[in-house]
Amino acid sequence: MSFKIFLFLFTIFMIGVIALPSTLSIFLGQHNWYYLDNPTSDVPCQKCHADIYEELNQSSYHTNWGVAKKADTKDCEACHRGNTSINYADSYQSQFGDKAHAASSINCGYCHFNTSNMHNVVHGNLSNYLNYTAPTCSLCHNAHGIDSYGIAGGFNLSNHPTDSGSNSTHFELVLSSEFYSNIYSGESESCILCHTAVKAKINFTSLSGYSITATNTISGSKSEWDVNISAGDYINYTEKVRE
Amino acid sequence: MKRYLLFIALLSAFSYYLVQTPSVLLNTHTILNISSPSNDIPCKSCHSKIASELNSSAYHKSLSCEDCHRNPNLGQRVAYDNGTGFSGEEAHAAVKPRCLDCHSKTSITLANGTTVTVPKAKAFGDANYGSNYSAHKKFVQSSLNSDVAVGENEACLACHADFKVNITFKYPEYINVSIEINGTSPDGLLYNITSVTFSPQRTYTVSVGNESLKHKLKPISDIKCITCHKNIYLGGIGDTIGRQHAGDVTDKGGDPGIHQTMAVNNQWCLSCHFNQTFSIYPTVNSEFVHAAERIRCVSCHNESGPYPPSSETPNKGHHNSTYFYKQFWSIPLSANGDICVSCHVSNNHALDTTGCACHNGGYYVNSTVYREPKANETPGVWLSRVISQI
Repeated sequence: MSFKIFLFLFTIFMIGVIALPSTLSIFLGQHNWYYLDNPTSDVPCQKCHADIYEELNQSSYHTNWGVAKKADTKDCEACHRGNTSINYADSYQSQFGDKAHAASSINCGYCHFNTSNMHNVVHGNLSNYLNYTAPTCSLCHNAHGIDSYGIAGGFNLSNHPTDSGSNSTHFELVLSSEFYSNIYSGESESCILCHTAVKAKINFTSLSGYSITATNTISGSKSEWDVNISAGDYINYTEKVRE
Repeated sequence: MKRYLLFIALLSAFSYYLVQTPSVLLNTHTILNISSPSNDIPCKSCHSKIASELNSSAYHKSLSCEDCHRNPNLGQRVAYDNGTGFSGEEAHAAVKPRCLDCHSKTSITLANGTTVTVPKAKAFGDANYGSNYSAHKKFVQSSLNSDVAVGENEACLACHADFKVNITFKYPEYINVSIEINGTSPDGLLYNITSVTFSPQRTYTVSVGNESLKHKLKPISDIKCITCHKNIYLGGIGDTIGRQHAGDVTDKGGDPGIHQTMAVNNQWCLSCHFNQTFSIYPTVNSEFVHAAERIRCVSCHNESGPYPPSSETPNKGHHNSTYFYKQFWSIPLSANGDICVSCHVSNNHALDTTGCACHNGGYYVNSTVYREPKANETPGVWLSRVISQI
């Protein structure tokens, strides 16, 4: 047997090893239903979303809702079944689901702009709906009892009483994410740009200068210069983030 | 064999990208740890261009982004998480700082707690931007009405950064001045300025700086008055395109005088507009200004100034010093120099410097003083017109 024929057969064999079980297993397990009547979800999200599950395992946050510092279904549910305005399908509570069945897409600001939502998620959904027991108060509330942990202030988009966003550099980014992009929900594109390890390419259109018109005005014995300043031309450049 | 290898390569590439393709959300769930005391999200990741500008800047190179843009020691209330979370107030990640947040002080505390000295912006760093003697105070005040940058930063950037600025000056093309000699003064002269009227305006445009380098600051020594005031520079070197200014002044007797003995450069400008050695005189106030003082010829050429007319050579411009000079203080400032230069001859008038051309008609002078050629007027046409009007 020549080497070429051996290689060919070996390749066919290897493809078969990978593909054959799958082929035969197309229907494998389809009659083995998950039990859904437990208080918590019994459908493992990572079955389909293993990549996200792995990412979450490397994340510094959002992994404490179930087993601490380990991604699990409760962590998924805290965000994706945490919207208190949605009745998710839940056999335990005899809910069929309305706006969403298993999970809803969620914008970061749902919790991080709204102390009420965060409160309801943690003390409502997670406490009751997900059978989640809230940890100590100090985990979320500072010593003064005012500042809710994790509220993203500084855009004037949260309901935190001191959030003015009056001098924010990234406000336009957040606003554009909210209204002009549909990659993710709400303003989430701007959040993940800075707060996650996602790669991005940013095309900046930046002011390259400005124009000044200085007009000498005479009034009686006074001579003054009226100065008007307006934006000039723009330049384009690209920043590659984490690439 | 080659085909086989190609097939394996394609299969490998396909397998690799197959994993990536469904992962539109790749890494979006790997949230960065921001709990250390310092800023854990590197600004340079998105703003490498600005980092590059700063590296070539004369100043601020040693500062961190946080020192200016997220510094609680400057009162900036941004979001942070150093174990105790704080919601941002005026901004989330970074504020838009005013230059004067730091440069109205003599020292500041950096984001890391280190206290450093800061060069305070003279006059502009004071309350209400200091005295009204500063020539550029109106520019600073007007910046507050612009949303190109925060606060008065536009004015700072124009001179101190390598930022592109197009400046259009609009000012009267010429003035009409009437002066009579009524002989009522003790010396039998008394020149009275009876009227000054201004023509429609002309424009002069100049472009300075490069593109979008607002974080690249220039050394102070590289800030040149004549970069923006190019028309004055051109007039100063006798170019017919330029605006008449002190460089035009010469004595009637052919003596070029102090104003023409210097090269037309920054020192020439500052010798009048920022001359601290003249601070001892009550009519000179350079010690209270930022870059340049708004001055008139009579700021120096008055009885209390460094060049009192009574000390000048008789018959060479003293104009019965007791009376004539005082009138200039009630004439609009921008007309002062033009009236003086109209008689003291300009480089670009090409008039007879030994005579008093404006006074040839007798005791009454009704002169039109052109500052420079009309818009789009060639030097030759302009010169002919000026001479024909004498």
